[in-house]
Amino acid sequence: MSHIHIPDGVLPVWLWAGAFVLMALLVLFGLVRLGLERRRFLPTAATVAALCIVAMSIELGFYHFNLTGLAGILIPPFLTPLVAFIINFVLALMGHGGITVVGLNSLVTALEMTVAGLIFRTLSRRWKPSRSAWLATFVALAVSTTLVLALVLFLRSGGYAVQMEVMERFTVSESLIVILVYGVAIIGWVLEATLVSLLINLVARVRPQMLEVWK
Amino acid sequence: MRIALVDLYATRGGSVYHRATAAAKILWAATMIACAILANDWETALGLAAIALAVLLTVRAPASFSLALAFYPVVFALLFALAIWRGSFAYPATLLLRALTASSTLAALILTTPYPNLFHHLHRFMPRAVCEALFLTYRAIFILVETIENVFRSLYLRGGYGTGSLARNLRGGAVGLGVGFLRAIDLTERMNQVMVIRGYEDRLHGSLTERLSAADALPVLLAFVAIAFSVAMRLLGETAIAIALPAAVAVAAASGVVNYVSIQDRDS
Repeated sequence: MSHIHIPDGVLPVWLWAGAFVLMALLVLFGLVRLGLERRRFLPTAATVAALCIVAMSIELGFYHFNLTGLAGILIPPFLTPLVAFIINFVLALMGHGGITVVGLNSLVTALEMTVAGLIFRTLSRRWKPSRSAWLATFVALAVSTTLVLALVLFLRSGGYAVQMEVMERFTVSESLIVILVYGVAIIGWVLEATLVSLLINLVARVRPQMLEVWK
Repeated sequence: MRIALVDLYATRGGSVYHRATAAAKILWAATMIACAILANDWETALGLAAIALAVLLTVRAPASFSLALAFYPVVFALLFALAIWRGSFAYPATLLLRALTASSTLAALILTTPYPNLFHHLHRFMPRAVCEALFLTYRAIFILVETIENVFRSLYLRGGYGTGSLARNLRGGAVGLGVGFLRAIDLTERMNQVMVIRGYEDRLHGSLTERLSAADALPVLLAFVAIAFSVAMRLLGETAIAIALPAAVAVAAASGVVNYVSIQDRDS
């Protein structure tokens, strides 16, 4: 659940505008931190973003791979907001999610990458990189899905202005939504985690220095 | 690959929208999306959608491709629309038409404007490093697609992908993606080194020089029409539906005809 497939004009303005502001602050912080290391990290970050865009733009029915877990492992955490923004901006230009939802989508994607990176860093000290990558991706996807689900349920329960009418009139019970989302999503998490694990296994064998971006 | 096709249509086309400057089209797109978000009745959203669709369907990209781009986000809006259905179609229709307007507008923009031209104007709103990263990503997408296609072709010919079990395909797919990704990183880094040798100093000096042309009149005019139509619908209410809505649809149709008929070969 690295991004929300919501088109423009559906979410309330305060939500997407607030997300844009927060995202801009995070990107600026990342750029300040990047500083003189720009030439070292930017080409890799751009290629990682391109890989995620390619993966996300290949639709497999109503599912597509994200590879955000891989991105979180391969780029330093301060760059995740920038990479997430680039991914979602380019995807929005291709009609993949609304342009006004780019900020919110980028926040979710950046969170997913950061969580995956942090877990991978912790686990890979003891476990093999492939196993660490599998668990890191699985947990990161679970966290981001839970966040998006919590957001939807929060909007639904509150009497918030603008289009909250949408949520108030929802007739499906909350528990059914939760069961449906997790039931379908868990299949995607397993597939995604397996793919990222296989990719990290290859990177660890061929280019192990790429897994040391944290040092 | 969708992005490669979009780039092809944006570069090769010769409609009025293709010849207009990126700045004029960005102005039009921003106005259309703002009007769509602020539209609070389905009639206003319908008029705006008519304008966006008229442009999209006359940029001479294949209609099936253009409509797939425009309607893909509408499928997700439909889920929301169904959820709030209570016999009255007004609010769900507004939601759907808002989404259609925004997606058709963006589709028309990217099908008529090459990505580098779009990114060129972004430096006014975004930090330099972000624009630079966008440019590098755009370049990397094509390197990646080509490399991955080659790797997958050779994997397929050697029986490592496309046949057998899901597990085998997943393993083969991961190897293909991984090898393609590592090669793409090498190529991107090499491109960066070449840029440094050629005098790159953390700043991309765009060679793009856009001059205002007669073709800019169409997107600018349509931006004004969108604003005037939205304001009229809001101020005049029921009265505007009888006058402004047909007028907006007529302008949309006329602009579509102009866009479609006055085609020019870009190489000439």
